[in-house]
Amino acid sequence: MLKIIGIILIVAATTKIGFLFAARLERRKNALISFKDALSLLESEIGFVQNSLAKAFFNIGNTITKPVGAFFLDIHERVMQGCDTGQAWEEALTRHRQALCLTDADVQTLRSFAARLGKSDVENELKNIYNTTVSLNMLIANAKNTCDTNKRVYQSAGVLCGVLIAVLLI
Amino acid sequence: MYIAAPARLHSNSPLLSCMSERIQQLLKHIDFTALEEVRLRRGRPLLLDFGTQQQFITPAGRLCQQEGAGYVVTEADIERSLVLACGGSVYACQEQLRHGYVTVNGGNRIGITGSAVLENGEIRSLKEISGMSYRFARQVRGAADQIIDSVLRGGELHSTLIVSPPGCGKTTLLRDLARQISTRGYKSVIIDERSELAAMAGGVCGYDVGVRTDVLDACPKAAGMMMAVRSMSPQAVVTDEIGSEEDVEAIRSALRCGVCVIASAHAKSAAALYRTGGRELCALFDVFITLSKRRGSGTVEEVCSLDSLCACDGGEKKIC
Repeated sequence: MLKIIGIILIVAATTKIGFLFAARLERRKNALISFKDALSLLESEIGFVQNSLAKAFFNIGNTITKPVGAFFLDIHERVMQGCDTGQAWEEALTRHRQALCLTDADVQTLRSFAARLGKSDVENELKNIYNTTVSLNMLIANAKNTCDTNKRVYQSAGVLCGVLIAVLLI
Repeated sequence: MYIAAPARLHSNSPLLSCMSERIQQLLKHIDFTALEEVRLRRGRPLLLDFGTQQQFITPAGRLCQQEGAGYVVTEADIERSLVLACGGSVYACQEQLRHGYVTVNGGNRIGITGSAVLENGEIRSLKEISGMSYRFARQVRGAADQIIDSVLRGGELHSTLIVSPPGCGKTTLLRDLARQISTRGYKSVIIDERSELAAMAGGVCGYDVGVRTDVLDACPKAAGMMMAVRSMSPQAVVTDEIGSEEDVEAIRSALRCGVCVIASAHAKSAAALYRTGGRELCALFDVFITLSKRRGSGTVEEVCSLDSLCACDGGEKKIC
């Protein structure tokens, strides 16, 4: 009886781990899609209304769902406290990277975007947004591909690992 | 002179937070009571203008008269100050930068000099910023006490033009005039092209311009006057620094609609404006107020009417 309970627990644990890894792929994909939506909103904030970045980030943070929404609200808070926009963005990236499940390539793209943000006229700001959106599209395609390919693999591997361990222990 | 009760400036003035951190440190212990301007010029000493005197500041933060001992403004100071002045969003101030200034919270104006970038013969932007001039705005309640009776005579508002060279207190006087007109029951609209008169932020006036005063913020004067007349039924329109043909035409249209105009213009005096090609503009106004800095900002040199201005062509002063 105890053996059966143990086996169930082991299989459950490894399955959970497998599903967690799979969920991280899904979370990354969704985060990148949310960032793309956020840039679209930023395009209107800058191109149409010409709101300051602090106000734009506040509006975006309240429109986009968590966790990307929280990322923008975090930057807004820091900028309102007097922090430089670039520095606030960098700090927010560091704080939220885990929750967003971003890879090094994702972080680098977002970092490059922030390096040019707020320093130029409307036309060049919109170009920066456009170029970053193109990069994000590639990352999203990559994330979707990885998710589709590996999600099932991780989930199945979780279950199978659990069964294997259980068999070995028996 | 009208320095009756100037609002006290504090070291946490919004204008200070628009300077580089190094300069903020230097100015932390300065007495701001009489400070009118701070001038940043790349590669030259930081200059503080207290109205009656100008002083430099040492790297240790002490005031001094010797320019050799003054803190020299660096390229990094200018770049950082510009980013801070634009609230980290240069594009949001693009239109203002084209005209060589940025207005920040509190109605404070920062003048900017540099190399002009032209497109089709018009200034598109400024690059290689060489200098920034921070003008500390203040509200002076009572600034218009001396001249309100000239503007409001026989229970009627008279179109008034306030004239002076730069930095003599026209904006401060206009602001209080708008407030006092409102206090006396008149509806007015301020066309605040440079956001200095009312210091609007988030739809709220930073200065007391009166409960019966509406504000069109960051709006070109000519278009703003027409919008105000058509939609807000004002008895007076108040605007700063007029002079272009467009402005003259807009004022003429407003007057035709029975709306009084209270404005300011740059000139040495009303007579000088009249003599040097400003007859068309002067013909639109009933009362002229000339200011100077002779006894400090806001010194009322002369109050005269259009009739006496025409008779004054020889330069004699007349008081109505």
